[in-house]
Amino acid sequence: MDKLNLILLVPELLAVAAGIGVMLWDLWLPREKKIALSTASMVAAVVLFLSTFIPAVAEGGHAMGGTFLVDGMALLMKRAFAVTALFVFLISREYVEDLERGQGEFYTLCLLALSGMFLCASVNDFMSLFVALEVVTVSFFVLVAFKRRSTKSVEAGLKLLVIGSVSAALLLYGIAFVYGATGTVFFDELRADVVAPDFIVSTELVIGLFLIFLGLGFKTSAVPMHVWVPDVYEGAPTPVTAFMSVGSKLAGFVLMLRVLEVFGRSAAIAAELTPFLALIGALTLFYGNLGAIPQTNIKRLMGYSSIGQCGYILLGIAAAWTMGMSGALFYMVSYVFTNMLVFGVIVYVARATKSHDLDDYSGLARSNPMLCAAMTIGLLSLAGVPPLMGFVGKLLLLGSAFGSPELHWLVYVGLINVVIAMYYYLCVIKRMWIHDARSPAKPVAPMRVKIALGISVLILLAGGFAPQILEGLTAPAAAELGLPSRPR
Amino acid sequence: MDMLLSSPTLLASALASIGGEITTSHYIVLSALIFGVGLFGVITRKNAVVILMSLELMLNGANLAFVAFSRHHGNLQGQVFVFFIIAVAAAEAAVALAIIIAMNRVKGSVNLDDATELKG
Repeated sequence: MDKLNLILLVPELLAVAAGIGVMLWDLWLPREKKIALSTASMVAAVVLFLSTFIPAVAEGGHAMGGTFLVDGMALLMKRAFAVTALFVFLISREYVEDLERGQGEFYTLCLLALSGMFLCASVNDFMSLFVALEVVTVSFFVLVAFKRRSTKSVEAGLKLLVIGSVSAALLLYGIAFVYGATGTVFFDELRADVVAPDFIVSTELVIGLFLIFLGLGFKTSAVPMHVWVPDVYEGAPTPVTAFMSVGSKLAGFVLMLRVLEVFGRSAAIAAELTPFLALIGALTLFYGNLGAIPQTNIKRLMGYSSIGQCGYILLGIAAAWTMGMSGALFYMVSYVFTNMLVFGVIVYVARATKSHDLDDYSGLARSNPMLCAAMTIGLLSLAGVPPLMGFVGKLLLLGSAFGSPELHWLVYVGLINVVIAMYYYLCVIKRMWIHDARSPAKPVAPMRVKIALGISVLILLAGGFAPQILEGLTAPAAAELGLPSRPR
Repeated sequence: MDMLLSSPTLLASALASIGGEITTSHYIVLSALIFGVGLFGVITRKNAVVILMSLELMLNGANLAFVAFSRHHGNLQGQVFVFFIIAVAAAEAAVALAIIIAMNRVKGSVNLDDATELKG
């Protein structure tokens, strides 16, 4: 327990090394050879993915004197983060190539953000939780404001900065209260303390946990801290939006799952948290899905859609039992492929049309039916249409909430929102297949992106027809978390 | 939720001990005030630099709470945490000032009311 056990940190150390390596190599490369950095980053993402399969790492355990934990959930999410980063590097190659300067910095910051996400998956005390979260957040401050001559990009960066810092302060104040109530910041001690028979659930502890979930809600775009999402998604460079909508959001969720896993063991704490999280989940669902309807900019639309999707995962988190955790993990993995599929298309359509208007998608089926089909499948999976992976995820999450009688209302809220979401996703699909083309631009995607999009489509179909494959990964990871295996 | 209403609040316990020595509750009330002043500043001020100062105030409110609780419990975890917060806050401030400078270059203003490109 008290050992350093550095071997478990190999993925994190490699990610930091890759980030710094890219930054240094950038200094030596002449302007016309910078494209090699893109290839290097893709290789790094693949190596990082494979590094989670090193036997000593895959076995799991504690490191750094018990402040770092590798369990099933950590491994699964690290793999999901590495795949996300690979996708981002695949779709950002052309975008970064066009930058006048800062190509190396772009990849460095992405890799450092990835190292922060890896850490988020493995935190086992509140200090590492805060530091890991801030590594991701501060990297994204810079990435969002990356086009520093563009008013939109800088404005988005400023908005993210203000709300991100406020939520970090709320999180810290919450942690201070939890520390005050329990006298420790280490999760291992807290896990033992909260189930002790003489443990008292004090007001400070409950206030602290509420503040912690509000602070983490900033990353996951849950309702009180969601206000930045549409603006920042619109203003940020599109590959960064893609990375943020998946990587940074799932980092927030994995931290929420971890905190819930630690404190949800105690039925008394769970009874305080469930109504709070259910309320946030319901508000998030309605805000995201109703806000998406009038949007005319595809990135804003995806911003609201991302708020809505966050609501479904909160359903499973609010239910706080093994099936909810398993459903949340399943949904998070499927979300990686679904959202990256949609953003893969958005990046290349925007490249051809130089704008992000929803009008650009009118008649996309005539100019590029393959991209259009890929986007359609991605949107249908986000909407939760049966043969696709997104449907199974929603089913698991709604089912887990249905398990506890006091959350039945939340299931109805979820079902109503499925219908609302279906409307605006189908509007985009209708525009692509039925409307006449408004712009003469013909979007094309390079071969490597076509292959990646094709694989994502296959995974979405496979996850829909044979969900037991992915469930075979998420269910044991969720069972390890130590929450009750029956609804409360 | 109902637990929040039924038990005595921190403020009440602090008021009860006025006249005696300075207890942990006093420090926590002070930290809550500092945090609240910071939050108020973030919400009401329009100048990005002043907002940054208010954010630092919020973080310092949290720092004070950590140190007070650390003394209360007699362990050092809270004090160590404060060092991490100070380091991260410095990194955050560096990035924040860079973004504010970039904003000043492209817009000629650091007023948040001028940040109106993105809405809808």
